[in-house]
Amino acid sequence: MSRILIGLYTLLLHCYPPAHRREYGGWMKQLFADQLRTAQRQKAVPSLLLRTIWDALKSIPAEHIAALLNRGSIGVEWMKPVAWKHVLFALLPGLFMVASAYFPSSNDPWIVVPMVGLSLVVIAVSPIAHRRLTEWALPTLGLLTATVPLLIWQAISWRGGGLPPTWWRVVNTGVALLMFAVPALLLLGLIVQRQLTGHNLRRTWRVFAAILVASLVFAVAEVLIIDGSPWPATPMVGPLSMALSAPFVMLGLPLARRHGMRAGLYVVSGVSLLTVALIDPDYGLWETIWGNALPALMMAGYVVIAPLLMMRAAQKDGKVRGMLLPVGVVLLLGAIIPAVIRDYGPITVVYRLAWVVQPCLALLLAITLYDELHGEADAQAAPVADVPIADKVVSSNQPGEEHAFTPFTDIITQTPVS
Amino acid sequence: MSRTAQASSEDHLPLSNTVLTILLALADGEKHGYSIMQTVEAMTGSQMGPGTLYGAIKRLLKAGLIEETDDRPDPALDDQRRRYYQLTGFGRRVLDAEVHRLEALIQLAHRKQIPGASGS
Repeated sequence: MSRILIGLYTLLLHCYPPAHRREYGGWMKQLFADQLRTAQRQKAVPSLLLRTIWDALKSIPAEHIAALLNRGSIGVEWMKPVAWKHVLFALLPGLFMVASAYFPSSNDPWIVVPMVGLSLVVIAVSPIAHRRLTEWALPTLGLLTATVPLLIWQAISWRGGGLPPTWWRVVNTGVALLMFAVPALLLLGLIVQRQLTGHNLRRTWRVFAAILVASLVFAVAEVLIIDGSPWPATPMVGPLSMALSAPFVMLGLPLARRHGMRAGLYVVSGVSLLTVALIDPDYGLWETIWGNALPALMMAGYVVIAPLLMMRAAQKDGKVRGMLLPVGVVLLLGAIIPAVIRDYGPITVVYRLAWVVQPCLALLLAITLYDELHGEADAQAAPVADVPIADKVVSSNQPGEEHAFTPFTDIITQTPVS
Repeated sequence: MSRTAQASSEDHLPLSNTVLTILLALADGEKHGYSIMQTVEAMTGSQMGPGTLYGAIKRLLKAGLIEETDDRPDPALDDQRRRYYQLTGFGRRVLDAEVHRLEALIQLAHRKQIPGASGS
């Protein structure tokens, strides 16, 4: 029994980042074996297993985030939460989107247009009122970037009843590919141009290749597994999913460059990540005993809860967790719940989970490209630890004053020690 | 010299609970991972999992607050399979600074006559 449990824990260790596993995996395994030995003597193995699972759930994302952000600090890193009035204002498009789940068809223009309009208002107010793009506008920017092409794509879906004719499939696929492929080609052009002008983008090319391979796999999987025919009724997901990553990166690069930190990129790409899964917003749950409540709730995870937690976080880790945890939960539920209700096969469930890979690769591409273009300087610039303790007192923003988007370096609340 | 070595002890404050309890566990001598975990459990009543413990240890090593050591508290207890850790001088200063910070907060609570602060 012990060997089985230790073997399972060894497998679990593969969920940690490779560098962390290489350095500490052996010690962690030994520690678990020690704990297990003690627990067996005390007949407390079940509680140890529960604690270990909880520990893994907490520490695995934390280590990946630490690796991603090159985080080395050991202290609590404080940040300024976005003011509630701005949070609520920024959440309006997301709230409208969730409410639209109760309308008969969420693809109708009279729902799409107000949602897009609200998003544009939110984004426009930020530079008008504050002369800069503030942090609270970024989730909406991500939402809009990810949602509008998808809504357009859904709006041009076949409404004639029955299977669409071949000519329509060709036109529809062409339009969709054009819509998504143009930014993808622009991104490719940018990478080639930077490579030719002296930048060494070796890692970027690798991630780009990984996206292409993943897209190809998705495309083949969709044709062979999902649709069962060589010419699917909808545009192939694989190439689209690859192209989908492009707008996020294109949007994130100038923002990150302007604000001088990879965090800007991370926020935009991350929030865009949330809405990619909206390509299948109902999760196959319409007209079930769950009604519209469950799809609306799951959508809220992407477009309301995650941005809310992210904007109100007072610590750097809280910001990242606030963004990623609701997404992880909803993505998981989005794969599992329809499988149970609609009796999907296991391959379809795996295919749905594979959707998570695509936005993660887009995020990785954005960060890698930014790193290789601008070096590590921005990531290491102005860390929290460089600020003397005496200066860590609240920077006393006046009521109503919004500060610039500096999510990973703002220090706002720190009780001074006298 | 690394940036972390140049940093002052206050730069790392406030410490997270995990880090504080690990530093406290190492305050009375070098320990290996399991021993740290047992000491933390004795101090706080709650167990720390391997992922949390070694994640914190990695960051403490990187920040220069602890270091690996070949010294053993008792040769009889030595276990070559284990890796031992001890506080560095800088780590001890950070721990002192954090304790002083917490003491100052407690004193502040006393001055404000907050009931829990008096231990009643």
